[in-house]
Amino acid sequence: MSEIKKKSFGATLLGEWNTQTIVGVALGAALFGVLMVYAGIPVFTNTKLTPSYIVPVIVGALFGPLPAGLAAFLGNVFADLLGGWGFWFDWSIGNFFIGFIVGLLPFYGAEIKKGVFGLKQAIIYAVLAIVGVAFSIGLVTPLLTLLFFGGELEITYAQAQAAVISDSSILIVVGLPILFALAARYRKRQGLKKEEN
Amino acid sequence: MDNRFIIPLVPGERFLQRLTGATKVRFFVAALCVLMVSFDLRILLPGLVLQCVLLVSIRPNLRRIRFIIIFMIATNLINILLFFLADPLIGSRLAGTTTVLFKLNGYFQFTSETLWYFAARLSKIAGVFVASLWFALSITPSQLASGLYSLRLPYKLCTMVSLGLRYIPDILRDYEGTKTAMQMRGMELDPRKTKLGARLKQTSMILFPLIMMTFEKVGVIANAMELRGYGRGKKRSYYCEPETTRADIVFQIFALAVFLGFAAYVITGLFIPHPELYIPRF
Repeated sequence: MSEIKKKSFGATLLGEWNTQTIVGVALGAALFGVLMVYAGIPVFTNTKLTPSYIVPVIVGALFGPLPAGLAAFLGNVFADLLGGWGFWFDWSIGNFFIGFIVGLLPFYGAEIKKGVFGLKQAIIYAVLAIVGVAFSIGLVTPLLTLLFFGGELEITYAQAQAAVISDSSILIVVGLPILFALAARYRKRQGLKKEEN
Repeated sequence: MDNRFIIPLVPGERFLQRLTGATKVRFFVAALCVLMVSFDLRILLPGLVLQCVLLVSIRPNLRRIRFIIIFMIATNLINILLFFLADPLIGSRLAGTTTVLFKLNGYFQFTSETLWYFAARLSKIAGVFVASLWFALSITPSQLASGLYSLRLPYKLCTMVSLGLRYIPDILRDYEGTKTAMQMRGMELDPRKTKLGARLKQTSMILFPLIMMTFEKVGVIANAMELRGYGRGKKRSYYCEPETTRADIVFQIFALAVFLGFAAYVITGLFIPHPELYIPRF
Protein backbone atom coordinates (compact mmCIF):
# COMPACT_ATOMS: atom_id res chain seq x y z
CA MET A 1 0.00 0.00 0.00
CA SER A 2 3.00 2.27 0.40
CA GLU A 3 3.20 3.12 -3.28
CA ILE A 4 -0.25 4.69 -3.23
CA LYS A 5 0.14 8.42 -2.71
CA LYS A 6 -1.64 9.89 0.26
CA LYS A 7 -4.51 11.88 -1.13
CA SER A 8 -4.62 15.61 -0.49
CA PHE A 9 -7.32 17.16 1.69
CA GLY A 10 -9.23 18.57 -1.24
CA ALA A 11 -9.17 15.34 -3.20
CA THR A 12 -10.54 13.46 -0.20
CA LEU A 13 -13.29 16.04 0.25
CA LEU A 14 -14.43 16.22 -3.35
CA GLY A 15 -13.77 12.64 -4.31
CA GLU A 16 -12.17 11.67 -7.58
CA TRP A 17 -14.48 12.35 -10.47
CA ASN A 18 -13.72 9.26 -12.51
CA THR A 19 -16.18 6.86 -14.06
CA GLN A 20 -16.16 4.65 -10.94
CA THR A 21 -17.39 7.53 -8.77
CA ILE A 22 -20.06 8.53 -11.26
CA VAL A 23 -21.44 5.01 -11.45
CA GLY A 24 -21.17 4.67 -7.68
CA VAL A 25 -23.20 7.82 -7.09
CA ALA A 26 -25.78 6.84 -9.71
CA LEU A 27 -26.30 3.35 -8.30
CA GLY A 28 -26.22 4.68 -4.74
CA ALA A 29 -28.89 7.24 -5.58
CA ALA A 30 -31.06 4.57 -7.21
CA LEU A 31 -30.69 2.35 -4.13
CA PHE A 32 -31.46 5.29 -1.84
CA GLY A 33 -34.64 6.05 -3.76
CA VAL A 34 -35.87 2.47 -3.81
CA LEU A 35 -35.19 1.96 -0.10
CA MET A 36 -36.88 5.23 0.78
CA VAL A 37 -40.05 4.34 -1.09
CA TYR A 38 -40.40 0.62 -0.52
CA ALA A 39 -38.48 -0.30 2.62
CA GLY A 40 -39.74 2.30 5.08
CA ILE A 41 -41.59 1.77 8.33
CA PRO A 42 -44.03 4.71 8.70
CA VAL A 43 -43.67 6.84 11.86
CA PHE A 44 -45.33 10.18 11.16
CA THR A 45 -46.97 11.88 8.17
CA ASN A 46 -44.49 11.88 5.28
CA THR A 47 -41.78 10.61 7.61
CA LYS A 48 -40.63 7.05 7.66
CA LEU A 49 -38.14 4.97 9.57
CA THR A 50 -36.16 4.46 6.40
CA PRO A 51 -32.98 2.43 6.04
CA SER A 52 -31.98 4.46 2.97
CA TYR A 53 -29.58 6.65 4.95
CA ILE A 54 -27.14 3.76 5.08
CA VAL A 55 -26.47 4.29 1.38
CA PRO A 56 -24.66 7.67 1.64
CA VAL A 57 -22.54 6.17 4.41
CA ILE A 58 -21.33 3.43 2.08
CA VAL A 59 -20.88 5.86 -0.84
CA GLY A 60 -18.94 8.14 1.50
CA ALA A 61 -16.74 5.30 2.65
CA LEU A 62 -15.97 4.22 -0.91
CA PHE A 63 -15.86 7.55 -2.80
CA GLY A 64 -15.83 10.48 -0.34
CA PRO A 65 -18.26 12.97 1.20
CA LEU A 66 -19.30 15.03 -1.84
CA PRO A 67 -20.36 11.95 -3.82
CA ALA A 68 -22.19 10.77 -0.71
CA GLY A 69 -24.09 14.04 -0.49
CA LEU A 70 -24.93 13.92 -4.18
CA ALA A 71 -26.13 10.34 -3.88
CA ALA A 72 -28.47 11.33 -1.05
CA PHE A 73 -29.75 14.38 -2.94
CA LEU A 74 -30.37 12.53 -6.21
CA GLY A 75 -31.73 9.58 -4.27
CA ASN A 76 -34.34 11.78 -2.65
CA VAL A 77 -35.28 13.27 -6.02
CA PHE A 78 -35.64 9.73 -7.43
CA ALA A 79 -37.74 8.77 -4.42
CA ASP A 80 -40.00 11.75 -5.09
CA LEU A 81 -40.36 10.60 -8.69
CA LEU A 82 -40.97 6.97 -7.73
CA GLY A 83 -43.34 7.71 -4.90
CA GLY A 84 -45.07 10.32 -7.03
CA TRP A 85 -45.69 12.73 -4.19
CA GLY A 86 -44.24 15.74 -6.00
CA PHE A 87 -40.79 17.25 -5.58
CA TRP A 88 -39.76 18.46 -2.15
CA PHE A 89 -36.42 20.12 -2.73
CA ASP A 90 -36.26 21.41 0.83
CA TRP A 91 -35.92 17.82 2.02
CA SER A 92 -33.63 16.82 -0.84
CA ILE A 93 -31.19 19.60 -0.03
CA GLY A 94 -31.36 18.71 3.66
CA ASN A 95 -30.49 15.16 2.67
CA PHE A 96 -27.51 16.44 0.69
CA PHE A 97 -26.06 17.79 3.94
CA ILE A 98 -26.81 14.57 5.80
CA GLY A 99 -25.06 12.59 3.09
CA PHE A 100 -22.11 14.94 3.12
CA ILE A 101 -21.64 14.87 6.91
CA VAL A 102 -22.26 11.16 7.27
CA GLY A 103 -19.97 10.48 4.33
CA LEU A 104 -16.99 12.10 6.04
CA LEU A 105 -15.74 8.61 6.98
CA PRO A 106 -12.32 8.84 5.28
CA PHE A 107 -11.49 11.92 7.35
CA TYR A 108 -11.30 10.16 10.68
CA GLY A 109 -9.43 7.15 9.48
CA ALA A 110 -12.35 4.82 8.80
CA GLU A 111 -11.13 3.26 5.58
CA ILE A 112 -13.69 0.62 4.83
CA LYS A 113 -11.95 -0.39 1.63
CA LYS A 114 -8.84 -1.29 3.60
CA GLY A 115 -10.89 -2.94 6.32
CA VAL A 116 -10.19 -0.29 8.96
CA PHE A 117 -13.21 0.35 11.18
CA GLY A 118 -12.72 0.09 14.92
CA LEU A 119 -14.38 1.26 18.10
CA LYS A 120 -12.92 4.77 17.86
CA GLN A 121 -14.26 5.30 14.36
CA ALA A 122 -17.58 3.83 15.41
CA ILE A 123 -17.97 6.41 18.18
CA ILE A 124 -17.02 9.31 15.90
CA TYR A 125 -19.43 7.97 13.31
CA ALA A 126 -22.28 7.82 15.82
CA VAL A 127 -21.66 11.38 17.02
CA LEU A 128 -21.42 12.68 13.44
CA ALA A 129 -24.60 10.87 12.50
CA ILE A 130 -26.57 12.63 15.23
CA VAL A 131 -24.96 16.03 14.59
CA GLY A 132 -25.37 15.74 10.83
CA VAL A 133 -29.01 14.73 10.95
CA ALA A 134 -29.85 17.36 13.55
CA PHE A 135 -28.12 20.09 11.55
CA SER A 136 -29.62 19.11 8.21
CA ILE A 137 -33.19 18.22 9.11
CA GLY A 138 -33.44 20.39 12.20
CA LEU A 139 -32.00 23.53 10.61
CA VAL A 140 -31.48 23.44 6.84
CA THR A 141 -34.78 21.85 5.84
CA PRO A 142 -37.06 24.08 7.97
CA LEU A 143 -35.28 27.19 6.67
CA LEU A 144 -35.75 26.06 3.06
CA THR A 145 -39.35 25.11 3.74
CA LEU A 146 -39.96 28.59 5.06
CA LEU A 147 -38.40 29.99 1.89
CA PHE A 148 -40.34 27.79 -0.56
CA PHE A 149 -43.69 27.34 1.10
CA GLY A 150 -43.92 30.07 3.71
CA GLY A 151 -45.41 30.05 7.17
CA GLU A 152 -45.79 26.39 7.89
CA LEU A 153 -43.03 25.81 10.36
CA GLU A 154 -45.13 23.96 12.93
CA ILE A 155 -45.70 20.84 10.89
CA THR A 156 -42.20 20.87 9.46
CA TYR A 157 -40.78 21.12 12.95
CA ALA A 158 -42.91 18.26 14.17
CA GLN A 159 -41.89 16.21 11.14
CA ALA A 160 -38.28 17.26 11.59
CA GLN A 161 -38.17 16.14 15.20
CA ALA A 162 -39.61 12.77 14.29
CA ALA A 163 -37.18 12.53 11.39
CA VAL A 164 -34.13 13.50 13.44
CA ILE A 165 -34.85 10.82 16.02
CA SER A 166 -35.77 8.09 13.55
CA ASP A 167 -33.02 8.81 11.02
CA SER A 168 -30.16 9.11 13.46
CA SER A 169 -31.27 5.98 15.30
CA ILE A 170 -31.44 4.08 11.99
CA LEU A 171 -28.00 5.37 11.06
CA ILE A 172 -26.58 4.04 14.30
CA VAL A 173 -28.60 0.88 14.93
CA VAL A 174 -28.54 -0.42 11.36
CA GLY A 175 -25.49 1.45 10.08
CA LEU A 176 -22.89 0.34 12.59
CA PRO A 177 -23.34 -3.43 12.12
CA ILE A 178 -23.27 -2.98 8.35
CA LEU A 179 -20.09 -0.90 8.51
CA PHE A 180 -18.38 -3.50 10.73
CA ALA A 181 -19.50 -6.27 8.40
CA LEU A 182 -18.34 -4.39 5.30
CA ALA A 183 -14.96 -3.63 6.86
CA ALA A 184 -14.55 -7.29 7.79
CA ARG A 185 -15.47 -8.30 4.26
CA TYR A 186 -12.90 -5.98 2.72
CA ARG A 187 -10.29 -7.01 5.29
CA LYS A 188 -10.50 -10.57 4.04
CA ARG A 189 -9.49 -9.39 0.58
CA GLN A 190 -6.39 -7.62 1.81
CA GLY A 191 -3.16 -8.44 0.06
CA LEU A 192 -4.73 -8.32 -3.38
CA LYS A 193 -3.48 -5.41 -5.40
CA LYS A 194 -4.83 -3.89 -8.57
CA GLU A 195 -2.10 -3.75 -11.16
CA GLU A 196 -1.68 -0.47 -12.97
CA ASN A 197 -1.31 -1.36 -16.64
CA MET B 1 -44.53 -3.24 -7.90
CA ASP B 2 -43.06 -2.67 -11.35
CA ASN B 3 -46.28 -0.92 -12.28
CA ARG B 4 -45.43 1.81 -9.84
CA PHE B 5 -42.31 2.77 -11.76
CA ILE B 6 -43.98 5.42 -13.90
CA ILE B 7 -41.02 6.83 -15.84
CA PRO B 8 -41.16 5.58 -19.44
CA LEU B 9 -38.00 4.07 -20.89
CA VAL B 10 -39.05 4.61 -24.51
CA PRO B 11 -40.44 7.93 -25.75
CA GLY B 12 -44.20 8.02 -26.32
CA GLU B 13 -45.96 9.57 -29.28
CA ARG B 14 -48.14 12.27 -27.71
CA PHE B 15 -47.34 15.88 -28.46
CA LEU B 16 -45.66 16.58 -25.14
CA GLN B 17 -43.64 13.39 -25.29
CA ARG B 18 -42.29 14.25 -28.73
CA LEU B 19 -40.80 17.55 -27.59
CA THR B 20 -37.06 17.58 -26.97
CA GLY B 21 -35.66 16.93 -23.51
CA ALA B 22 -34.30 20.47 -23.36
CA THR B 23 -37.75 21.97 -23.89
CA LYS B 24 -39.42 19.81 -21.30
CA VAL B 25 -36.75 20.40 -18.65
CA ARG B 26 -36.81 24.17 -19.17
CA PHE B 27 -40.57 24.35 -19.10
CA PHE B 28 -40.73 22.20 -15.98
CA VAL B 29 -38.08 24.21 -14.14
CA ALA B 30 -39.85 27.48 -14.92
CA ALA B 31 -43.22 26.12 -13.81
CA LEU B 32 -41.73 24.70 -10.63
CA CYS B 33 -40.03 27.99 -9.72
CA VAL B 34 -43.29 29.90 -9.97
CA LEU B 35 -45.32 27.31 -8.08
CA MET B 36 -42.73 26.97 -5.32
CA VAL B 37 -42.22 30.62 -4.51
CA SER B 38 -45.54 32.35 -5.03
CA PHE B 39 -48.31 32.14 -2.48
CA ASP B 40 -50.78 34.12 -4.52
CA LEU B 41 -53.96 32.37 -5.59
CA ARG B 42 -54.15 34.57 -8.70
CA ILE B 43 -50.92 32.97 -9.94
CA LEU B 44 -51.32 29.51 -8.45
CA LEU B 45 -54.77 28.73 -9.83
CA PRO B 46 -54.00 29.41 -13.52
CA GLY B 47 -50.73 27.51 -13.00
CA LEU B 48 -52.62 24.53 -11.64
CA VAL B 49 -55.09 24.60 -14.53
CA LEU B 50 -52.24 24.75 -17.07
CA GLN B 51 -50.46 21.81 -15.43
CA CYS B 52 -53.70 19.80 -15.44
CA VAL B 53 -54.21 20.54 -19.15
CA LEU B 54 -50.67 19.33 -19.86
CA LEU B 55 -51.23 16.16 -17.83
CA VAL B 56 -54.48 15.38 -19.61
CA SER B 57 -52.88 16.09 -22.99
CA ILE B 58 -50.57 13.06 -22.67
CA ARG B 59 -53.61 10.91 -21.88
CA PRO B 60 -51.94 8.96 -19.04
CA ASN B 61 -52.83 5.37 -18.30
CA LEU B 62 -55.21 5.98 -15.40
CA ARG B 63 -54.77 2.60 -13.84
CA ARG B 64 -51.06 3.26 -13.42
CA ILE B 65 -51.35 6.61 -11.69
CA ARG B 66 -54.61 6.07 -9.81
CA PHE B 67 -52.87 4.83 -6.68
CA ILE B 68 -50.48 7.77 -6.60
CA ILE B 69 -53.28 10.30 -6.99
CA ILE B 70 -55.41 8.75 -4.23
CA PHE B 71 -52.39 8.57 -1.93
CA MET B 72 -51.58 12.20 -2.66
CA ILE B 73 -55.10 13.47 -1.98
CA ALA B 74 -55.34 11.52 1.26
CA THR B 75 -51.96 12.71 2.60
CA ASN B 76 -52.73 16.32 1.83
CA LEU B 77 -56.17 16.27 3.39
CA ILE B 78 -54.64 14.80 6.55
CA ASN B 79 -51.93 17.45 6.43
CA ILE B 80 -54.46 20.27 6.10
CA LEU B 81 -56.43 18.83 9.01
CA LEU B 82 -53.25 18.71 11.12
CA PHE B 83 -52.54 22.31 10.20
CA PHE B 84 -55.97 23.37 11.24
CA LEU B 85 -55.74 21.49 14.53
CA ALA B 86 -52.32 22.98 15.24
CA ASP B 87 -53.31 26.57 14.53
CA PRO B 88 -56.86 27.44 13.37
CA LEU B 89 -55.91 31.10 12.95
CA ILE B 90 -52.89 30.48 10.70
CA GLY B 91 -54.33 32.45 7.79
CA SER B 92 -55.23 35.42 9.94
CA ARG B 93 -51.71 35.53 11.34
CA LEU B 94 -50.26 35.66 7.83
CA ALA B 95 -52.75 38.16 6.46
CA GLY B 96 -52.88 40.36 9.54
CA THR B 97 -56.67 40.59 9.54
CA THR B 98 -59.35 38.37 11.01
CA THR B 99 -62.79 37.79 9.56
CA VAL B 100 -64.56 35.15 11.58
CA LEU B 101 -67.07 33.14 9.55
CA PHE B 102 -68.28 30.97 12.42
CA LYS B 103 -66.97 29.67 15.73
CA LEU B 104 -67.06 26.21 17.24
CA ASN B 105 -65.56 27.43 20.49
CA GLY B 106 -62.83 29.84 21.56
CA TYR B 107 -60.10 27.82 19.87
CA PHE B 108 -61.67 26.43 16.71
CA GLN B 109 -62.67 29.42 14.65
CA PHE B 110 -63.20 29.31 10.93
CA THR B 111 -61.88 32.53 9.47
CA SER B 112 -62.04 33.40 5.80
CA GLU B 113 -58.28 34.11 5.83
CA THR B 114 -57.54 30.56 6.92
CA LEU B 115 -59.79 29.20 4.19
CA TRP B 116 -57.98 31.30 1.58
CA TYR B 117 -54.66 30.13 2.99
CA PHE B 118 -55.72 26.49 2.68
CA ALA B 119 -56.99 27.10 -0.86
CA ALA B 120 -53.65 28.64 -1.84
CA ARG B 121 -51.70 25.87 -0.17
CA LEU B 122 -53.76 23.11 -1.74
CA SER B 123 -53.52 24.55 -5.23
CA LYS B 124 -49.79 25.06 -4.78
CA ILE B 125 -49.17 21.47 -3.70
CA ALA B 126 -51.54 20.13 -6.33
CA GLY B 127 -49.78 22.22 -8.97
CA VAL B 128 -46.33 20.92 -8.02
CA PHE B 129 -47.71 17.39 -7.90
CA VAL B 130 -49.45 17.53 -11.29
CA ALA B 131 -46.39 19.18 -12.84
CA SER B 132 -44.06 16.45 -11.60
CA LEU B 133 -46.55 13.84 -12.78
CA TRP B 134 -46.69 15.00 -16.41
CA PHE B 135 -42.95 15.57 -16.36
CA ALA B 136 -42.26 12.06 -15.08
CA LEU B 137 -44.72 10.51 -17.54
CA SER B 138 -43.40 12.29 -20.59
CA ILE B 139 -39.63 12.17 -20.27
CA THR B 140 -37.21 9.26 -20.62
CA PRO B 141 -34.03 9.11 -18.52
CA SER B 142 -31.85 9.90 -21.53
CA GLN B 143 -33.98 12.87 -22.50
CA LEU B 144 -33.78 14.10 -18.93
CA ALA B 145 -29.97 13.87 -19.08
CA SER B 146 -29.80 15.73 -22.38
CA GLY B 147 -32.23 18.34 -21.07
CA LEU B 148 -30.13 18.93 -17.97
CA TYR B 149 -27.02 19.10 -20.13
CA SER B 150 -28.68 21.80 -22.21
CA LEU B 151 -28.88 23.86 -18.99
CA ARG B 152 -25.05 23.76 -18.96
CA LEU B 153 -24.79 21.30 -16.10
CA PRO B 154 -21.62 19.14 -16.24
CA TYR B 155 -22.40 16.04 -18.27
CA LYS B 156 -21.06 13.72 -15.59
CA LEU B 157 -23.88 14.90 -13.35
CA CYS B 158 -26.37 14.24 -16.16
CA THR B 159 -25.02 10.73 -16.54
CA MET B 160 -25.60 10.12 -12.84
CA VAL B 161 -29.26 11.07 -13.24
CA SER B 162 -29.98 8.94 -16.30
CA LEU B 163 -27.91 5.97 -15.14
CA GLY B 164 -29.51 6.05 -11.71
CA LEU B 165 -33.03 6.20 -13.13
CA ARG B 166 -32.33 3.38 -15.54
CA TYR B 167 -30.91 1.24 -12.77
CA ILE B 168 -33.95 1.54 -10.48
CA PRO B 169 -35.90 -1.37 -12.07
CA ASP B 170 -32.87 -3.63 -11.54
CA ILE B 171 -32.68 -2.67 -7.89
CA LEU B 172 -36.41 -3.26 -7.48
CA ARG B 173 -35.92 -6.74 -8.90
CA ASP B 174 -32.94 -7.45 -6.61
CA TYR B 175 -34.87 -6.12 -3.62
CA GLU B 176 -37.86 -8.34 -4.34
CA GLY B 177 -35.55 -11.31 -4.88
CA THR B 178 -33.71 -10.78 -1.60
CA LYS B 179 -36.97 -10.39 0.26
CA THR B 180 -38.41 -13.57 -1.23
CA ALA B 181 -35.23 -15.49 -0.45
CA MET B 182 -35.34 -14.30 3.16
CA GLN B 183 -39.00 -15.28 3.44
CA MET B 184 -38.16 -18.73 2.10
CA ARG B 185 -35.68 -19.10 4.93
CA GLY B 186 -38.50 -18.47 7.37
CA MET B 187 -38.24 -14.73 8.04
CA GLU B 188 -41.59 -13.27 9.10
CA LEU B 189 -42.11 -10.00 7.23
CA ASP B 190 -45.75 -9.38 8.09
CA PRO B 191 -45.76 -6.07 10.01
CA ARG B 192 -48.63 -7.21 12.21
CA LYS B 193 -46.75 -10.21 13.53
CA THR B 194 -43.36 -8.66 14.24
CA LYS B 195 -42.24 -5.99 16.66
CA LEU B 196 -40.36 -2.84 15.71
CA GLY B 197 -37.00 -4.09 16.99
CA ALA B 198 -37.31 -7.33 15.08
CA ARG B 199 -38.27 -5.44 11.95
CA LEU B 200 -35.18 -3.26 12.22
CA LYS B 201 -33.01 -6.36 12.44
CA GLN B 202 -34.75 -7.90 9.44
CA THR B 203 -34.32 -4.70 7.48
CA SER B 204 -30.58 -4.80 7.97
CA MET B 205 -30.53 -8.48 7.00
CA ILE B 206 -32.15 -7.60 3.67
CA LEU B 207 -30.05 -4.48 3.31
CA PHE B 208 -26.64 -6.07 3.51
CA PRO B 209 -26.91 -8.38 0.48
CA LEU B 210 -28.67 -5.61 -1.47
CA ILE B 211 -25.88 -3.14 -0.78
CA MET B 212 -23.20 -5.70 -1.66
CA MET B 213 -25.00 -6.64 -4.88
CA THR B 214 -25.34 -3.02 -5.92
CA PHE B 215 -21.85 -1.79 -5.15
CA GLU B 216 -20.19 -4.82 -6.65
CA LYS B 217 -21.77 -3.90 -9.96
CA VAL B 218 -20.18 -0.44 -9.85
CA GLY B 219 -16.85 -1.76 -11.08
CA VAL B 220 -18.43 -3.78 -13.88
CA ILE B 221 -20.53 -0.89 -15.18
CA ALA B 222 -17.68 1.62 -14.86
CA ASN B 223 -15.35 -0.66 -16.83
CA ALA B 224 -17.97 -1.16 -19.54
CA MET B 225 -18.43 2.59 -19.84
CA GLU B 226 -14.73 3.30 -19.96
CA LEU B 227 -14.23 0.65 -22.63
CA ARG B 228 -16.71 2.56 -24.75
CA GLY B 229 -14.73 5.74 -24.28
CA TYR B 230 -16.86 7.42 -21.63
CA GLY B 231 -15.32 10.46 -19.98
CA ARG B 232 -12.68 11.14 -22.64
CA GLY B 233 -14.14 14.29 -24.15
CA LYS B 234 -15.02 17.57 -22.50
CA LYS B 235 -18.40 17.73 -24.20
CA ARG B 236 -21.05 15.24 -24.98
CA SER B 237 -23.86 14.95 -27.47
CA TYR B 238 -27.00 12.93 -26.98
CA TYR B 239 -28.13 10.28 -29.39
CA CYS B 240 -31.70 10.37 -28.09
CA GLU B 241 -32.28 14.04 -28.84
CA PRO B 242 -34.76 14.61 -31.69
CA GLU B 243 -34.60 17.66 -33.96
CA THR B 244 -35.81 20.93 -32.51
CA THR B 245 -39.19 21.74 -34.07
CA ARG B 246 -41.23 24.92 -34.14
CA ALA B 247 -43.34 23.67 -31.21
CA ASP B 248 -40.13 23.34 -29.17
CA ILE B 249 -39.19 26.93 -29.86
CA VAL B 250 -42.67 28.17 -28.91
CA PHE B 251 -42.57 26.21 -25.67
CA GLN B 252 -39.06 27.40 -24.85
CA ILE B 253 -40.01 31.04 -25.38
CA PHE B 254 -43.06 30.54 -23.17
CA ALA B 255 -40.86 28.92 -20.47
CA LEU B 256 -38.41 31.82 -20.70
CA ALA B 257 -41.23 34.34 -20.34
CA VAL B 258 -42.59 32.50 -17.29
CA PHE B 259 -39.13 32.36 -15.79
CA LEU B 260 -38.51 36.07 -16.40
CA GLY B 261 -41.86 36.85 -14.81
CA PHE B 262 -40.85 34.78 -11.81
CA ALA B 263 -37.48 36.58 -11.57
CA ALA B 264 -39.22 39.97 -11.77
CA TYR B 265 -41.64 38.90 -9.04
CA VAL B 266 -38.79 37.81 -6.74
CA ILE B 267 -36.67 40.90 -7.40
CA THR B 268 -39.52 43.35 -6.84
CA GLY B 269 -40.36 41.36 -3.70
CA LEU B 270 -36.92 42.25 -2.32
CA PHE B 271 -37.73 45.96 -2.40
CA ILE B 272 -41.47 46.05 -1.78
CA PRO B 273 -42.39 42.85 0.09
CA HIS B 274 -45.36 41.07 -1.44
CA PRO B 275 -48.19 40.37 0.98
CA GLU B 276 -47.66 36.86 2.30
CA LEU B 277 -51.18 35.86 1.46
CA TYR B 278 -53.62 37.16 -1.12
CA ILE B 279 -57.08 37.87 0.26
CA PRO B 280 -59.71 39.20 -2.18
CA ARG B 281 -61.69 42.14 -0.90
CA PHE B 282 -65.32 42.24 -1.79
